[in-house]
Amino acid sequence: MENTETTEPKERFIAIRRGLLEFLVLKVIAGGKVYAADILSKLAATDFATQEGTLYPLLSKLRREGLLDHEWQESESGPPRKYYLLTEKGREQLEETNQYWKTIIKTVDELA
Amino acid sequence: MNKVTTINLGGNAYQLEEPGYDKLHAYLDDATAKLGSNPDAQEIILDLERAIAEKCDTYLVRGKTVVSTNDVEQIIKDMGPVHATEGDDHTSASQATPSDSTKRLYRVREGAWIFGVCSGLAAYLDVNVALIRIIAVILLLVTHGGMILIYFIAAIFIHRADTPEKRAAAHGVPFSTQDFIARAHDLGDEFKTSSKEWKRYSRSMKRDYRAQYQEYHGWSAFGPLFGILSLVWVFALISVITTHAIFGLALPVTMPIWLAIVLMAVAYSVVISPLRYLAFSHGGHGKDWKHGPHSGGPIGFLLQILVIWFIGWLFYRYVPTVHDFLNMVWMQLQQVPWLR
Repeated sequence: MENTETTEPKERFIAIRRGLLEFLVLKVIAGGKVYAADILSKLAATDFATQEGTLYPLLSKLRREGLLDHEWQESESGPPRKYYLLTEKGREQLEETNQYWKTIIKTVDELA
Repeated sequence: MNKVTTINLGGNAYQLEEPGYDKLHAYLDDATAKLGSNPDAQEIILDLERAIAEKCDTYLVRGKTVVSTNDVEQIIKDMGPVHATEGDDHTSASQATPSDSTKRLYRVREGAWIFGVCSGLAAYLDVNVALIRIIAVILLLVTHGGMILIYFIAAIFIHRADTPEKRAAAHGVPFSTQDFIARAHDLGDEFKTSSKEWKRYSRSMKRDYRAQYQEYHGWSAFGPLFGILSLVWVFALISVITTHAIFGLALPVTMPIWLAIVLMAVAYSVVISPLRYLAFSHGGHGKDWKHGPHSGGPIGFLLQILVIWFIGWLFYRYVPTVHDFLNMVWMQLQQVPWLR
């Protein structure tokens, strides 16, 4: 969370970060079944630190697009939790975005 | 020491300090508004509630059982504002939030006689509040008092413009049908949540009154006049409770005392309004009073007097009880030696 403070001056990059958040969230979920707080804590250490207020609407949109699904699991402490996982379609899209991302990096490097 | 409210977050009960509860409620209301017609809005709100519940758990350690207001503030900060995701934006953009320039119907307390329903409506329709009041009073007479009920229902369901943004929105851009429909939608939503809302509204009404009280008692030049009027009111109150009559005028037998007291409170509020109006357009409180053509000053003051006179005349002409009462007061006044 402290990270958001230090990244704030990089206002110029907000648009880039916002555009990439969806990609990164898919990537985190691809790493195995995760729970919303896991996604937040994974991102917290990066420039892409985000908050529940942004994450939940995004997750619900991805689910509506059929990219991910969720299942309920009992937790040892407290009520059952919602765990997210990628669907087949989600995996395909992630792979596509990964490829595209590599192309972008390549283009940027080559232009220099 | 703070009152504590118990709430249900994602299926578990949590105890919150009341100011904290208000803040959390406002946060979730705001989230609902931002999500607008997002098809998953309810689901997202539930997700948010569960996340808030978990955060509450982290504060409830070492035997602590109540989530304090500070904790709630921290939780709301950690949750961050709710963003409608890209692609859903077009739906939420038309949903009027107070920050965009869409006009909304609010109760406007500045220059209000009772709860500000008429001033709010006047600001919304961009007409002079005097016109709205006269229409309201005519309707009151035509409906034999039915308007009183409608007025109080309106006062309950229309929010008070209690922030600068809302005050701006109350006067905002010209009236549009779209907004009217949006408002009707909102009203429907409010009906759904009414049981919880009731408590909040009654509390905010109380705050309204307290704020008004402070305002006109803070303004010293009219102090003695307010004092005399309040005294008259108190005597009338005592008279109505002990003898079921106001200074010798018997109430209709069918009228319950509480209704008489409510009507007296309204009458007091109306009589005192021109003074409050002057106080508002004057000095310290003026900062709240700068919107639109309804501002204060001597013309506004005269207009207020005129409207009260006209409304008084309407009652005198068409309500026999009022007619008798005023005649009786006039006769009593003629008995006072130093007035003769």
